[in-house]
Amino acid sequence: MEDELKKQKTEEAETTSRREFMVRSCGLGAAGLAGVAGLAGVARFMLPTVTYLTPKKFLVKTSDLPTPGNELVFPDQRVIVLRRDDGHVAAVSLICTHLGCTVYRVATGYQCPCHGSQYDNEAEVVAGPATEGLPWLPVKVVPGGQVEIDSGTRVEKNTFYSVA
Amino acid sequence: MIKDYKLLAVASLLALVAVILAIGKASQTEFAKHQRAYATLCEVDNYEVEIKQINVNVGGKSLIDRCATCHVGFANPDAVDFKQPLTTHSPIVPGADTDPHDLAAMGCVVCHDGNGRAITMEDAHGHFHMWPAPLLTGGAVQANCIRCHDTNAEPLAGAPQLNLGRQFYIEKVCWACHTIEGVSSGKIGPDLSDAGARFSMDYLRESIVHPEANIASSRMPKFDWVDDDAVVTPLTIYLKSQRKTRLREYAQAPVGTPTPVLAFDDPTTPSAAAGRKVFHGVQGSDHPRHGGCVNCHTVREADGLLKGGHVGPELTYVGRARPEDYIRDHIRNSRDHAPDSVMPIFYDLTDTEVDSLLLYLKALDYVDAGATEGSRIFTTYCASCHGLDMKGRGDNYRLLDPYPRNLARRQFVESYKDRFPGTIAKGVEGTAMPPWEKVLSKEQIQDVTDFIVQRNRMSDGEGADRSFVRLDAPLPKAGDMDRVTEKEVVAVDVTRGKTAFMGHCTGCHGKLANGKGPNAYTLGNVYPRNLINDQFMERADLTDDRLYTSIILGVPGTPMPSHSHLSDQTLLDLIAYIRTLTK
Amino acid sequence: MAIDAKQLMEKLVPEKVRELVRVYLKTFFRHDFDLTGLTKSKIMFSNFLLHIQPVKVHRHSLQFRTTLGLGLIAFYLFLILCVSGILLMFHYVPSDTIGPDGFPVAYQRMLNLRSNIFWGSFLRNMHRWSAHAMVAAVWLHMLRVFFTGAYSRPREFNWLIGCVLGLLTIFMSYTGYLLPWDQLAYWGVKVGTEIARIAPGGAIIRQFLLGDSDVGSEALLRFYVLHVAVLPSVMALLIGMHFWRIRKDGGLAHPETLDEDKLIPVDECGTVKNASAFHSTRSYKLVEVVKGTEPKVDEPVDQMVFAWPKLIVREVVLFMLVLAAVSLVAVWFDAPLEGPANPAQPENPAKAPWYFIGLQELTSYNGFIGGVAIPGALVLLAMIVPYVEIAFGVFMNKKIRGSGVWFSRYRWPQNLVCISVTLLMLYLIIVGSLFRGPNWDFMMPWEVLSGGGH
Repeated sequence: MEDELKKQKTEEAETTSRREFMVRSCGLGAAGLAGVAGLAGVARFMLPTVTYLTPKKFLVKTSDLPTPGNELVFPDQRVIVLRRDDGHVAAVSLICTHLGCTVYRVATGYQCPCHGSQYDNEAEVVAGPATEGLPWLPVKVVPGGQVEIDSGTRVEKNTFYSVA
Repeated sequence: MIKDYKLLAVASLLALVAVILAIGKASQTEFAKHQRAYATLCEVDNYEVEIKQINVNVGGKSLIDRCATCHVGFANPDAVDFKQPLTTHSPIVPGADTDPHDLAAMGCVVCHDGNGRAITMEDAHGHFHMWPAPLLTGGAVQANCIRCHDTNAEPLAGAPQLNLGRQFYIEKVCWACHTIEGVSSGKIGPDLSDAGARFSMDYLRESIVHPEANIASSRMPKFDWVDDDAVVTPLTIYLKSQRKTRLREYAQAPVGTPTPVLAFDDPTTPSAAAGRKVFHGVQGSDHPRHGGCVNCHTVREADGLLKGGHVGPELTYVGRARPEDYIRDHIRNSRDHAPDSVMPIFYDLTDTEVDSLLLYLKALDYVDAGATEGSRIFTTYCASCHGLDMKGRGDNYRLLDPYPRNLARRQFVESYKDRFPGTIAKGVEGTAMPPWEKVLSKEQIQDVTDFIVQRNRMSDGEGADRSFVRLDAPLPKAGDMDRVTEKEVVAVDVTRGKTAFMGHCTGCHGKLANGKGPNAYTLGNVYPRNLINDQFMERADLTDDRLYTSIILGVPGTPMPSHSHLSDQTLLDLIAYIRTLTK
Repeated sequence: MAIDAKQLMEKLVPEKVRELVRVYLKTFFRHDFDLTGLTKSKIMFSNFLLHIQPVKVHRHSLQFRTTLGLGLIAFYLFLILCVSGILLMFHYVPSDTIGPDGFPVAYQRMLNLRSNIFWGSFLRNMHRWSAHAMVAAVWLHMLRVFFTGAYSRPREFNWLIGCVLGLLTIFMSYTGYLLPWDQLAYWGVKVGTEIARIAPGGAIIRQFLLGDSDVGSEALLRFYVLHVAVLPSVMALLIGMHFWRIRKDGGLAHPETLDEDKLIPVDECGTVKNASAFHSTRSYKLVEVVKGTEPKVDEPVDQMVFAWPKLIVREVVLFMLVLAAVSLVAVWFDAPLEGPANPAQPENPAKAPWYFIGLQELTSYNGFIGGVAIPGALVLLAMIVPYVEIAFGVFMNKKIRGSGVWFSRYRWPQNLVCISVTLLMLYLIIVGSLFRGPNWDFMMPWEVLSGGGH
């Protein structure tokens, strides 16, 4: 009789302990989740949503593009726009892949004034410390007779786009 | 313990829910649906929902413009058929081959104001409490042309509302009281050079239409044209355009000048015709800011119609009533005659113009016809100030100083009717009451006096036959026995007089004795006399005797009470003190 | 279930790995996780974050009605304010330079928080509402301490620290009030500093605060530095002292233990499985817990409860509740933001923040008495209350009684004064904030303001 009572009590205690464990886990779990959600929110709080500098993507009116066979430098965005005779357009970044100086356009290609990196007309490295060619940039036709050049993305070299 | 853990679970869940709600609310963006709709309309699949920010380069600094976040297609000519907020903006210079305004680089807030940083409609359009620059739409946008174009120097082609407002600013003589840098230098009203930057359209409009709405002490008249939208709206736009900070050098932004609307020559020799032009604000080409008396003063020309603004007195008879010098001085500086006049100082009128004005005023010869001689004269000459009901509240009473006499108080009229003919003939210095002896004959003056007395008798009803007795109170001299103290009156003392004045008179006449004491404006129709009005106080017939009588007996029909409880000594001291105020 | 998981783990994870995990865990926590008294003590001792609290607390302290959690609520709000404040600092510049859009830089930053920054509004709302809530919580905490007589011996000095903390809280909130640089901030602070001018020497204090003859760019910078660096560090220090003193003064005030009080059941703080000799010993007097037995000598009935986990769990619950409450308020109610500060166009009426509005209302009757004499006297009175009581006890040969009990009948004179002053302050705040219209004229809250805003 006494043993039975004792057994019952132990069982009861165990059940209590088990329920306690579950409830506690729930509570701590929810608290942890709240913490994680809060951290996620704070992370997004810290991530920039706009740029106050020159935007990576910029719009150019089709009428402002260079005429076929010519090229045009956009100094603010540090991009050169090349136009083939057939009217196709490409954009090349003028930011040296070595340490970010602005390269010059020269007859043989591009020349960096800082550490002497040289690129050929296809923007491939021919001399100097740079190891990678200048990035070719995507040119996207957007509604309204404009193209959007994204200086933040690299595409295959010699990629020309139709803007017709 | 399990109870505590349950509580912990509930509290933590609550916190979790709160944080998730916060994330949910912050993730709901109003602009996403617009950008999606735009992409669908343009049949573009590959796009990002993002805040589209234009950094408008303004002299090295950036003007932040996020309007394109919702107005996605505003610079896209193909979006012309889309609905707001996606539609394209119409060209700023209509009909031009190439619009010099590059919308994609300019953004929206440069012209439209609002809150360029906001990305919800309510915030962005500035439609929330106390936002200083709510969205400008329609013609009001022209107010912001000045941020790049010098619209104050020359009219700007393509900004008709603004140019009209500029024209009204001159035509309605706003320039006489207000300063706008480079346009006018009036000193009576507030400087408006930065008004557009500081106040919203609504505020500016309200300030024009109800001058007292925003500045309770404003003395700006409520002009007759304030109900005319065709005037007020362009004027408001013009005021809204006044801002001191520019966005770029004017040299960079050209001004195309439309053909001038007004081209008249300045008079070289004085003539009534030239005077009429000045009076009616018909502009001269060299001096665009002259004249315009008609905005405040009314006149009746030969056709007998009352024309002009109900701010100052009617001037039909002033050429006949006032001496020439008086009129000339009054145009140059009206404060010589009326200390609190709101009339601007027209210091830059040329002699020719003033002489022309004089000739014009003297040439006015309108005479009204009335029932009896007395009533005809009253309606013709007196009613514009004293009012047809004689209560001293004629059309333009409000800006006269002092207010015209209330002639509908029988006690007053009966007490002073003997003085009326003299007052009418000679006028009252220091007030707007002109001398009429050059206009009216002695008989006519007597007629109008009788008319006033009769009208008061009639309106007294059953008391028409009351008789009035005017008491005598001769001025005591030093050595006489004092009525109250029964001591001998000694020599007057200004210091004692000042003490007495501060004790007995300041409640109504004010500490400065300018008639603006704390009780002054609760007295109803008749306000206390301004005792520092030199012109009035130094009149020959305002003797000590008369002051004594007025103080000891009071002035019947006005709030000035009897002061017979004061001793003669005090009264004499008082008079001596009052006399020092104007010497 | 717990047991099942344990068995499962034993089956699946090799012994060596479990050993490794145990050893690794020991590098973080130098104690076990069972529920013996020894472990409970060790947890409190060896954990940096917990060791400021005692191992055992009086069971009276555990009851919610003893403190209403007010002190902790104020502390949690302080933590929330620190975190949200530091986050806001990443997006704030204390400058009144006018940008090309005609708005001061600080105000532009507010507009950014409202628009493009994710959670910008939320964190700003949270910061603003927590600040208001903290002033209120501190005030209520002081009232709680007063009405329970908990400032009496030996807690007089801690009461002083608390008073200083209260003043700092208000000052903290006040310095933060200016930072948005909108009309509300500008004119609220302006009115506040005008009150300072009335005090003797106030003109100098005002110059120290403003760094200029009036509220301007210098004042903005000074308020910023005070708000984000000086005041929080001083407060953090004083809060540490405040907590430390609580322990040194013998925990929270509680009524004397009577002999007929029951002994606490052993399982009051959870099931004790391995009841060691320590279960009824008071170990908090020890420098370190060592094994062994020690007879209890001449102790009253033990009323002490292990702080772990009972107290700690309750503290966490309270934190979660406070966090949830301020978050929910911040989600639903936006912090006010008026037009940009414009020194030429006063708000009418220009009202100080609510905790100063009582002062403003008083100064509208009489500048010196309302702005300096009365508030100064109240603060002084509050600070010296315990010392006055001691002096009273010494001269009248009376024992100070009624500590640790709500509204003790031995303390009715003090409580009566305190209730009157509180009601008066509430009255002034309500009249000042709800019944005052333009030109500080009396008006009903529901009367509509006429005339044009712009």
